[in-house]
Amino acid sequence: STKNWRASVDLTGRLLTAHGQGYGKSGQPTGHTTDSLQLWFVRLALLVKLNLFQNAELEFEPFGNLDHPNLYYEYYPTVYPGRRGSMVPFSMRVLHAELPQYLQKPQDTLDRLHRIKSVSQKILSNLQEGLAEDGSMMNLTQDNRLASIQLWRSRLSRVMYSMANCLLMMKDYVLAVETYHSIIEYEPEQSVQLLSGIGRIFLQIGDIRTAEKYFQDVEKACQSKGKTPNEDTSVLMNRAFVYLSQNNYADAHVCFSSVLKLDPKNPVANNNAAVCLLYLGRLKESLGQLESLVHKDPALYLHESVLFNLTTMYELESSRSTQKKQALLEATACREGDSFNIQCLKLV
Amino acid sequence: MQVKGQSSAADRMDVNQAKQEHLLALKVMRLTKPTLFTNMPVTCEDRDLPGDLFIRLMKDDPSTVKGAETLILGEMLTLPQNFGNIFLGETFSSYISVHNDSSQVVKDILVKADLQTSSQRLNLSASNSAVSELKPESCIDDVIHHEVKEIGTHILVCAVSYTTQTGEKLYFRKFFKFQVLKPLDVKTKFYNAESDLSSVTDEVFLEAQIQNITTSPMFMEKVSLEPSMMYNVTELNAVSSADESESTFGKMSYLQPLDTRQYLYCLKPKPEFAEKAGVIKGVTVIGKLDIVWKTNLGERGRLQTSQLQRMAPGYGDVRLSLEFIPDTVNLEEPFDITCKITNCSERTMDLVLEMCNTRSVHWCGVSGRQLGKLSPSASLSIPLRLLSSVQGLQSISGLRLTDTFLKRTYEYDDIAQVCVVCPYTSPES
Repeated sequence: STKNWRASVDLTGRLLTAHGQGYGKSGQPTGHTTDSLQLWFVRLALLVKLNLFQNAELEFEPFGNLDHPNLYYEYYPTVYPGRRGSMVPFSMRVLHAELPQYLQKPQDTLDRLHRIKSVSQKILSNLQEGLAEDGSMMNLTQDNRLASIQLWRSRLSRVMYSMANCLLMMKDYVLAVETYHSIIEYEPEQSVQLLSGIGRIFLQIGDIRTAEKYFQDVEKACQSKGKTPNEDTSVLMNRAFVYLSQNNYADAHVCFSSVLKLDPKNPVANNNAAVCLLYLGRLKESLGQLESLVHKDPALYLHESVLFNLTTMYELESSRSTQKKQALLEATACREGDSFNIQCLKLV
Repeated sequence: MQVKGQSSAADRMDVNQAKQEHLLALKVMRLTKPTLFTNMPVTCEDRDLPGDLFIRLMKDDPSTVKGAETLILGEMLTLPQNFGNIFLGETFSSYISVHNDSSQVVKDILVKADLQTSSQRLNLSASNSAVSELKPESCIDDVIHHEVKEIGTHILVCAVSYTTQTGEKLYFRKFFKFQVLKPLDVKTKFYNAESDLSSVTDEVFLEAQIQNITTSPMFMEKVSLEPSMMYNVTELNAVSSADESESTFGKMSYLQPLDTRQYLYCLKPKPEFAEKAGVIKGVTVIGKLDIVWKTNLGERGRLQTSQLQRMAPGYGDVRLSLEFIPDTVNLEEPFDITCKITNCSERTMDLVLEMCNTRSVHWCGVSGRQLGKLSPSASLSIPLRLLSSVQGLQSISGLRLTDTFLKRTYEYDDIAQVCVVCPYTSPES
């Protein structure tokens, strides 16, 4: 949690060597355990978080499609007597599927995600028909069955999020919107977030009218929860984005400020209010607000996006931006781990 | 050292004037709309080794959507990181900031922003009056907007003049060059109601092909045809149902880069011009296209084409069109049509109508009768009767008009089509 992920990655390397699978050992026959696979998962997940996508792809290669026989419990009858199925963590499959899109191969990501989705759907329907996950007639207790259904529903919605995200990155907006929409059935408590997100997609396209329709649906969903529109931060945020799309930065600023009255520590509203000030010609005010936010709560505000905004405004404000950026660098150095994306400070 | 005041309207594109150290610094930043920050979710389940670590990290991340942390499109706004592209019809917005970098108070600061194109120079500043004084570390800010109406090189010229504490008058200019590109490729095509044949009505269809030649998707908010005074226009790009109309483009409300769309309009000449339309020769002005589009977060663009022109189809001296004809007729049953004969020439004609039978069309009535004199631009309606002896889609041909004054014959074949059906079901089919 100190975010020293590079150090963590090194640690996994050492631990995997102890398992007989470390550096230089790819291509050699080996045995897996659930522990070693979890180590691999952590290592690969951290590589992805560090944006080291090519390294992750290379290290994933020996695992193939994650369906080699030696990745199944049945391969080790002495170690795991009686256990059946894949030892590969579900999250590792998701990670493996999501990786190609970061390497400009989004079609591979979609193919892999589709495969996971159809298997998950089959398992879920098996469970709902009273069978075991793999379709056999094994008996499950009521509790176990419910827990399993819950698990697989949440896995299905995780995969659907992945697919929708990938389609959005590919700019296939029609399919992305459809996919996000279909998640609502599985995660109804997230309907406000999903509908608002879809609205934002339409704002990005430039179709403000359709975005407003979705934001109206959000308002209805909030009203059914018993809140008036002015009490709901989601509704206010959406309204602010619509004003922004109509070039009305003054009213957008008012909406973001209203969110802050309800939730003073809301980092998004704070950042966005400062951004509006810039568009209104109030550079110094905007800069002052962002700087004081970073100063008061560095844990929250030393974030890539806020720092991008801050350094952009430093460059606009004066010729001494380099010094100010260096001050930011010092502030982040003592807080963030070795994983911080230093490029957002634009020092070069 | 004093720098000479306002130099002559120079078109030189220096980046910076005099190497003198100035007390004030001028900075310019183009204000395109901000973008929404996207995340990269990495998750695991509670049973996995990291436990709830990844989820907690995503929840603590200020840029994720609370309650749906795996949704990549957050709500955090990021300022534009580079100049980007600018297209004809868009609005150029820019932040102009003059900052007092020195430790002394500076007086009488005048900031002017002009936009220089290949054809003109426009003043963009909001105010033209000087600011009396500027303290150290303070700044004068202005946001300028300008709807770009020309393609090609544009230069933003910012000039700052000020007086130091010692009474010295100083002046400097900065130039910022940018290119304005073409955003759309528009091709138009005209269709007569029945192309190449004499038309039943005088309608003209306009097909406008619009291609997005920018690098980002465009939402076409409005593509309308403003007709010239001769025509009324009907837009044919939406299907109307009870409550609302649905676009013919369905769910694809936006145009991806390099995609093309076709818009269709129907133009009918207004009644007072209708008669003339049949006789019009040469070029007529149809109207112009008005296109409004939006991109990221409502960034707006607007273009109008020049007046679109149409070459009237040549009808020759005498035009024969159909006023009335049925779609479907029965085999070997006579049916009626009405022809309209218009004199499109400059002289009076004395016309004789002859009807010739074809393999499938047989005319009823008297062939070779005189129609009488027809003056220039006048027309007359002739009812005719005929029958078809062949089933299927048959072409009506065989009319001949002879002008007795000049002894010239005009032939009219394939005037229209009619569908001939057999009304009886035969026993052995």
